[in-house]
Amino acid sequence: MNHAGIDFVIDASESRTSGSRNVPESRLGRGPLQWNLKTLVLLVLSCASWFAYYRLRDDNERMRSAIQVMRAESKALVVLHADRVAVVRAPKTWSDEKKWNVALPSKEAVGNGGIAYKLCLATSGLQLGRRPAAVTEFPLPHGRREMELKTVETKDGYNVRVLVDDQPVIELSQPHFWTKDREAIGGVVTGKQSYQPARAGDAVSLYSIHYTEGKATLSKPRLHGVELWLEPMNARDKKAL
Amino acid sequence: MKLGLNVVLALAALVGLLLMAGETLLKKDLSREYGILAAEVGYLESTGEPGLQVMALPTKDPRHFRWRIFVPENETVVWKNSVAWDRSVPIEGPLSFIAHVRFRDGENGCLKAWWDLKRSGVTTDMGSPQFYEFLKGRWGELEIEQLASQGRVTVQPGQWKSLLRIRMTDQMRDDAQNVLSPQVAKWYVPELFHLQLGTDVEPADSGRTGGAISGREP
Repeated sequence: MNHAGIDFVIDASESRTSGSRNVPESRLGRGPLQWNLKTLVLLVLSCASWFAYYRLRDDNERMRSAIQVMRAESKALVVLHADRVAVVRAPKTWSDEKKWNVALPSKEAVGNGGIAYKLCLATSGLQLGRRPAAVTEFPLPHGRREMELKTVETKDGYNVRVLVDDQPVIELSQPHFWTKDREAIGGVVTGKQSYQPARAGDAVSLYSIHYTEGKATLSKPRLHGVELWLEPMNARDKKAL
Repeated sequence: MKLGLNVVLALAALVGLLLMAGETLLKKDLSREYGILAAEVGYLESTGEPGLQVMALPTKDPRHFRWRIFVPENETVVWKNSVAWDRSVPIEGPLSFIAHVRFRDGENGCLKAWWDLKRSGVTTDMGSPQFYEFLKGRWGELEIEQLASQGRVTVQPGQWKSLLRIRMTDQMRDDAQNVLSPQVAKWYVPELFHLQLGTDVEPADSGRTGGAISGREP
């Protein structure tokens, strides 16, 4: 008997091995609990499985929190709805880089009611809270694409170029209209995390910067700068393709 | 009683095994994602040991260098650059971030450099168009030492280490002396770029003349 008052007796009576014959009959019924080989095996198995479970759970928890941190930095595209665009800012590889990774609905998804998109760029006639009238458009191909907006200052103004998979698809030259003390409002619109519009038909703003002379107000009809966004293609756009 | 105990233990073991199997499957998925992400952005966390932890990260461009840096609590990382005017902005821990240094062709015909050290980021021209022409096609000849390119490195408190050091070979140095203007040669030959990191103690000998600020103007 141990100090806890429990007899540890290997009762192999069910299997009737030769060893069990040596156990006195009177000891088998002694003590509040009877332990046999089966019970001990089950106890060990139970302890081992729960120990392993808690250890694995802790490991997974640690790994999950590390993944969360890394996901935020890796700028992975998360596509929850196959019928609409997903967009994320590409990881930074230069100081003033404006790059996005975009997942556009596949041809099959568009065939099943998904949205096809066009890339829209405007540099003049910009209005706060409203899309401009003069827009240069480019119908985007399906699938995953890398898009970049490059703005290069020239002698007379600036040159705006949009590249899709490193190929220039839109290029605009815009002369300066503003004075030196211009005020810039805006910048990259999309956040650091992967984004999909709440409704399939919504446009997605990528970049917006407005230059004003003095403070910008909604009443000021014409502003200059750069606006870049993705807009769902309508039936007329699709026909024109 | 014995039967009851066995049933309870068997059930406990079964539940434990099922949960364990579930976590094992989950671990497989998580490990796969962890592996992919860690290869891309790296992951360092506190080991409880003092010192900065540094791990080089892969890039697609041979002129682009990245590191994952972990600054433990109560420690401050400082920088020292061979470009004199780049003043170090100390970064206090605990913090984990990605540092970048990249070189590329500038639109103005010069070599452009960019470094992003979390709280300080600089884009600058390096040397003249003549210097850019000299380096054209010869990047592979440069001796490049990137810290932690072979795996994680700990920078002990008070210690300084070269995060990135780019030097010309003897042959290149001789060629450069013949081709470049004395001023450009003075700034970039034989050491083109040298960025050090450490804690808030200045190194006794930075390997350059001129005391605490040992760099050069761009």
